[in-house]
Amino acid sequence: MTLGEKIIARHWVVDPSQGKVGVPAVRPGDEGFVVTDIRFSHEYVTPMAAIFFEQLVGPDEKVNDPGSILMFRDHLTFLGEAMTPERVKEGLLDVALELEKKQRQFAEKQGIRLYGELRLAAHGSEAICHSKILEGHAEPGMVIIGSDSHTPHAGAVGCVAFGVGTTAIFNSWITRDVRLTVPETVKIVVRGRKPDNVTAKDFMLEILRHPYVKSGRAIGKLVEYCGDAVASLSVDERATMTNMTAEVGGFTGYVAPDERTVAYLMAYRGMSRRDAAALCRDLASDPDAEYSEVIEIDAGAIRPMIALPGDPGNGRHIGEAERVRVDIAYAGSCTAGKKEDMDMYARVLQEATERGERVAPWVRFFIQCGSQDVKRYCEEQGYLDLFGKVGATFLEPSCGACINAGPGVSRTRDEVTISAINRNFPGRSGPGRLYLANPYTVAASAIAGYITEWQPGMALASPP
Amino acid sequence: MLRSLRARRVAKLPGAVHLPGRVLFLAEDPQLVRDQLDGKDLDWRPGIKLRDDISTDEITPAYICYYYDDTLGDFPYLGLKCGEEFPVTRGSVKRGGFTASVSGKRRGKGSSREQSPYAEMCAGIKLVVAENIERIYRENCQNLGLLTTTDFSILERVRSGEAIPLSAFTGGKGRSRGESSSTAGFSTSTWRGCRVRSPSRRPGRRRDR
Repeated sequence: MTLGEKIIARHWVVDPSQGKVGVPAVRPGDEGFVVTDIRFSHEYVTPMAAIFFEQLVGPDEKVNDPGSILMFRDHLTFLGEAMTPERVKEGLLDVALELEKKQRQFAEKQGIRLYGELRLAAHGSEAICHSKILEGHAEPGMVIIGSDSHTPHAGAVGCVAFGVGTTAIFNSWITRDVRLTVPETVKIVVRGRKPDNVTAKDFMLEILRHPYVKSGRAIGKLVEYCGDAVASLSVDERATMTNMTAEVGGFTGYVAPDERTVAYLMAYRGMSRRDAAALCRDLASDPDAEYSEVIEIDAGAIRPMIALPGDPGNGRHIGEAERVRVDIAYAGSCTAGKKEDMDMYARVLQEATERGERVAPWVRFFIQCGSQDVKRYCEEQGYLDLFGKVGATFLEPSCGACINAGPGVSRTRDEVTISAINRNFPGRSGPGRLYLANPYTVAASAIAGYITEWQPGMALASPP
Repeated sequence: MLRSLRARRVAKLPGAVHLPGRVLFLAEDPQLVRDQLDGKDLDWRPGIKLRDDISTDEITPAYICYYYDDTLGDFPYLGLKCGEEFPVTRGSVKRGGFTASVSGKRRGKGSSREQSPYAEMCAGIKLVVAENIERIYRENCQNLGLLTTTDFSILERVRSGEAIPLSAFTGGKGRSRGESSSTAGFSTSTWRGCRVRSPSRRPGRRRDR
């Protein structure tokens, strides 16, 4: 079996009346239910699921095992600052504010942990759901469901984490189970040594333009990322890959746990080496595991990429595209608001500030972290001062502009955005033209004012 | 709680469906989409390019998803971009009397928002046909009782008004697939899961080797 199949087999519901879970093996096409370790939802989905629950189960009934349910106020925290006056007038802001309230009340009544809004002076969220699940909750070998397509983010530590809709979340509150058909597995092998200015984002933009993926043949499949170029990535960067399995269309994506996973669990969860290694034990695909497709990517041949507006599958090497002037640079979201993403923005900006460069006068540059942990890290590293010094606006955690609901959204169809988020479907982050790129490119483009392939040490600001 | 649920009856859909109504082809050419919304049926042939990669951001843009009731029926495809245009206006799909919605590759990609198929359903759509359909969107359709297929020949049967067996949409397999759909906006198949919660056949057959 592949690792994904193994994790599914361990969680297979055999006889719920006896609490019997787990089968020796599953294979693609098997249909049934698996028991989840973590179920989470955010304010876009919780209210609808809560109303299903109250109406169809009962207003005073209790959810099953509230201790393994988490809720997040992350998508619409900054909505008031992004919504157009016309939509506010239509009453849409009031409707959206009700979502926050309904989730908070339901969580309180059910005794569910809610990662909510900041209190006191700052405005923002405690964390984006995916950021917090990875930093604080996901463990190798788990099954996790979330009310969001980017739930595979947590697959970076070797679990099966997948997105579901409202009905499935609601149902899981009753049973802890989720229905699935065992998918086939696609293996994506990234080999070789990547150039210094290439990141996991470029790996994904390269994968997303692969004909197998673009034509939809990876839809609903388990995606196993491996190869020495993946092995050499940190867990943060692996999460950029597993996160964007949503764009691949895969059921979920994962990286088998290894020494870096052990180190991550020790650093983020305070685990002993022994405990962390025990969690990772036996979590690997069998040598004779079957794959429906094997895709090989040469990391050494990848150059920094952009995806042209409209679809993340529109990838090009920056050098292949014409020069594009930018109005907005956005550096944030679950995909690009991790500690290592902040390191990348800071690396470019530190060099820039040493040359006396600042954000181009016509560019609005926003940096938004994924969680309070990431913000604290930025403070410790001195990044907040650096970001301020070059003229970037730092924002407290939230999905914000990535869900068209915060500073950094475009206002007109002509505005151009360079962004480190994961998708650029029409209208995703305002009416403008949004290009996807890696964190180095976003920071460099903010300084240059044009989409720019960053090279270490290069001058970015145009001469006056 | 489970006791009360176990005692509850779960309705099954009849074995065959009639799908009276028009077919909406989400074409790349915005004029073709507008014509259909204006009441003119499209004589579709494979040469007419259908939109690929229709994301849930286009079916129901994020600002529409603050609703989660049948208000959504006014909004499906409001974000649909055809060329440089957005041919669908508020309420136009519902007024058009469409029963089926057809597009190309990778239908429903992106966000897991169940508001997308729910908006389509509330606008009268009962069947989604596409070259391939994204996993979460397809599951959401199933959970709501919206039929899906990648078999374009079904369109002739829709147009001729014949009764179509549900097995045509499910390939005849799957105890928890479309046969047990609900109009109540939740999945009776998963309800059945919580009543029984034990696969009717032994899953995870061991491999011989």
